[in-house]
Amino acid sequence: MVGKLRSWARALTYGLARRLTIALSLFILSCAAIVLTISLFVQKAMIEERLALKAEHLSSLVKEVSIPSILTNDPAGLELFFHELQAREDVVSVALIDPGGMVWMAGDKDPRSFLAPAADPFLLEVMEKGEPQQKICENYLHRVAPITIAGRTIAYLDMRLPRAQIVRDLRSLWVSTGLIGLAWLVFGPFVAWLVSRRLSEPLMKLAGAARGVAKGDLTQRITSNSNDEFDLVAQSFNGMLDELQKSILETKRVAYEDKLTNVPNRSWLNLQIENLTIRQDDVQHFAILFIDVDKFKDVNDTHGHHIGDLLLRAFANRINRCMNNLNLSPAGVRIDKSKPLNIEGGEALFARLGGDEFTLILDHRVAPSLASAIVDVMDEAFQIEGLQLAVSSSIGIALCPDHATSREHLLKCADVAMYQAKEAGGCNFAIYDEHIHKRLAARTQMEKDLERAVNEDAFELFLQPKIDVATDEVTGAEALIRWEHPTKGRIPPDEFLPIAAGMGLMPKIGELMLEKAVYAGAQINRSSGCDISIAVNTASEELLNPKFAARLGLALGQAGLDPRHLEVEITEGTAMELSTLVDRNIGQLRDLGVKLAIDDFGIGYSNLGRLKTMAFDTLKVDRSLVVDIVKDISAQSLFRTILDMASILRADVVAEGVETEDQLAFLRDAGVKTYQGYYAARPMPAGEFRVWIEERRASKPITHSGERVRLAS
Amino acid sequence: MVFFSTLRQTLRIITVLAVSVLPGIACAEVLVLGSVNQDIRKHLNRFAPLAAYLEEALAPHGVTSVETSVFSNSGEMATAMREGKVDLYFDSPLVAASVARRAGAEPFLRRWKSGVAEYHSVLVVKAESRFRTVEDLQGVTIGFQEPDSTSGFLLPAALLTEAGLKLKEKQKPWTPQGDGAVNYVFTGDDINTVAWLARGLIDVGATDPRGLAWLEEVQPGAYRVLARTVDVPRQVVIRRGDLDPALTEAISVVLQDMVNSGEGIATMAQFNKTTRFDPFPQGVEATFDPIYQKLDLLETLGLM
Repeated sequence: MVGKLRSWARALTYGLARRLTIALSLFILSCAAIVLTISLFVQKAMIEERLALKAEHLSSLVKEVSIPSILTNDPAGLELFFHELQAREDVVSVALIDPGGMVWMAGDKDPRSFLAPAADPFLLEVMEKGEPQQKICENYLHRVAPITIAGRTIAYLDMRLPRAQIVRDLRSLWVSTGLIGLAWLVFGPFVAWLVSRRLSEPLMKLAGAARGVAKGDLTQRITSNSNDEFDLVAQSFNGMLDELQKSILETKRVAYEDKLTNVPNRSWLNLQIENLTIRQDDVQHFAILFIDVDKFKDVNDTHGHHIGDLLLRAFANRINRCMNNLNLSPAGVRIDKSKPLNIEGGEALFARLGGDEFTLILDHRVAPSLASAIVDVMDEAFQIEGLQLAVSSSIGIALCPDHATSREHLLKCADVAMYQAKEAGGCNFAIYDEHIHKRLAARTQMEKDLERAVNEDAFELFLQPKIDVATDEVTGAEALIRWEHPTKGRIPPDEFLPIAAGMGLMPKIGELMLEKAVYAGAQINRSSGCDISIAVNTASEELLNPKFAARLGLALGQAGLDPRHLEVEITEGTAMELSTLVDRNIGQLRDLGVKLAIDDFGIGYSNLGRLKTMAFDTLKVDRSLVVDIVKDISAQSLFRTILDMASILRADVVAEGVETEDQLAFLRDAGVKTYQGYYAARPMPAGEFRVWIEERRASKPITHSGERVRLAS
Repeated sequence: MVFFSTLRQTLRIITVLAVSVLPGIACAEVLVLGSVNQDIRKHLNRFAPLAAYLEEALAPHGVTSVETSVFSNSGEMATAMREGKVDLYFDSPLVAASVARRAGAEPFLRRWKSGVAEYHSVLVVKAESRFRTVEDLQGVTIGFQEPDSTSGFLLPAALLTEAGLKLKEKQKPWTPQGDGAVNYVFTGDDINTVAWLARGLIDVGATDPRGLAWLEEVQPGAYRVLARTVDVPRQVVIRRGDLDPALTEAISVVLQDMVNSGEGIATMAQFNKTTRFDPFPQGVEATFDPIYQKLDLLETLGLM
């Protein structure tokens, strides 16, 4: 109970203003109570005094009138006077008493009769004292005064004046005093509240401003014209906030501004997007531009980071100019990071995400115009330290809430749109397209899966036999890659190899498949006692690796495969590349004893001079030249020409894609040495191939032809 | 209503005062009531309700106004009546008879007062007084009311004279006594008479039964009656001798009829506690012959 009372008292007296109000209220009410009490007693006394004065006055009057009649013993002469006196409302009774105590004259209402003895104790008291006396009875004021002439008392005037008016006056006095007291009970605290408010207002202002500052609002300022010490406090407070604001703004700039371009950084951008998207019930309409500098990496690689930084600064300046041209107001880093951008008011946020990536938040209606302007202005070359730098920009646009309503999704959409622009050739802008996004997402997923497959060595080696046209014997096999996707099943090489090439995975995949192929070839030869050769496809990136030949030699050694039983297939395009590295690798391969084949010949562009200088062993004629070979005379002629050219170059010919007896018959007739195709066998896992060849060997002897094998589909 | 009534009354008083000081003969349309008293204001107030009543009641008889005239003594009243300035005069019987004789007026009606039709006068002494009969009163001081008072002077004076006593007036009670005579002083009022008696200023007080009753009430057993006079009408009304008979009759009817209405009773009550007007039961002559004889005696002795 005591604790509750204490806490209640504490709550009641919380705050200076409240305590001041209570204290002033008590003071005012105390003063009012004292004044009212004094006033009450004074007025009460005055009212009583008024009656006493009236009694005295009336007594004097009656005495003056009565004296002649008393002296002449003529009470009858007073009869009418007393009768009229008695008729007055302000007289209860009036009587003259002679010195012997007999009623000399009495009004009609006097209880004592004319000539009756007056034995009133009060009268006797006055007779004894010889001085006027009066006393207050319940309903009247009783006054008895001696009437004297020359020091001799000739009679006593006995008067009773009603107190009814006095009682009414006193009652009115009590009521009015009570009402005034009640008014003060209300008015006093109100005045106290006004005064305390007046006194504590500056402090309340200060406290309110301090609360605002504590909540992060540094725009709080105190206005004061109180012409006292509080003015100094207000000035100091405001000055302190000015300094604090500068200091915090500087800190914020350090934290949220990109030092290179002096525009807000990614963190600030994220905050502002959050500010715009945090209210789900009041979604803001705005656009996000994702700007990427095309070929910036080349600039960095070519001219160094110093030039790259200068380029980025100039790039940012141009974007700022574009914004100015469209009357967009760049919103910089400010103290109140929770204050949303005024998009509709023309405010726009230009931030650098990092590297060569910039982002803009702006009114969605202006976004395409600005993007177009930026693309145009970036198409002009930059003059940096005497260099002419030609870069361009690709811009993706995402709209809120049309494309997304969260920060992550919006940035992702803008990023995707930017890639769309890039895929379209760059130097352009694109608005986010969901379908393209899905496609890109699928490709991205494929890339991830591929990367994982490479890391986990999830590829499988298939072998497709190469058959001697004349003897129908297996002379070799082409190593083919197969990928069993965990969820999508088997994915054709045509589908995933280009993606792997785009990802730069081909050297790694080639390395994996090479190891598998040489190992499988060695095993097959050992188990079957054959000398078939294994052909592996090699990408141009592998041939650009100076260590390719050495690594291949190592793999051969580890597997125990004779280099003569390995044939490296390169495409016609790779073969035509004039690269020292390629030539060096080819030379080293030749030195190892590895054979070389030109794959898919006939569908590319071949430099006959280059072919002539290349020491390759086999021309593998593309299946497109074989498919119509039975019926198409021109195809037959073309094929015979290739055969003649191969003969000139002293290279063997392998026909790919042979599927019918007629095709084989033609090849046989044309003198082709080896063919490959479904007519002989489909590609099969290496393990099956070993069984297959052993079964075939059981029925037919295998010729040790030393043929090459191919690593291609 | 009260205001207008008061205003009318005030105007009437002013008119009466004016009339009282102007000589002339009362018009037939104006009926003048007369009274004798030292206190003019008191009597004007006393007559006002009756005057108003009569004015209204007698209007059908050509009376347009009823006014009041107050005179300080019966002589002035007699003169006024004789000169036709007063039509009706109200007073105690001996005074009224004296005025009637001098003015040629005639007693007219008996007036009851406080329910009393007749009254008398008594000589009162203190109970312990040594006086037993009127004959014992030689050399004492008697307090009479005033010369024009029936009960306060004329009746007791006649009684004492008839008893063979010689009366001698003195101005103040404390004036030295005259030898062999009954000394008397005028107290001016019945109240004064009993007051003086009570205070011992006089030895005997001549008063009416009312004064005696008062003394017995306030000081029971302290006083006793020494002698009692004959009964006379309590009050009488006399009329001017030449007043129109028809109007006289109308006035008689109206005054006697007042007892039959509430307004009349109330008006009479305001007129010095009057309770009725009626004819003299024994007739005028039978009633007034003894009175005239007493008046003759008093006049003979020079007491009137």
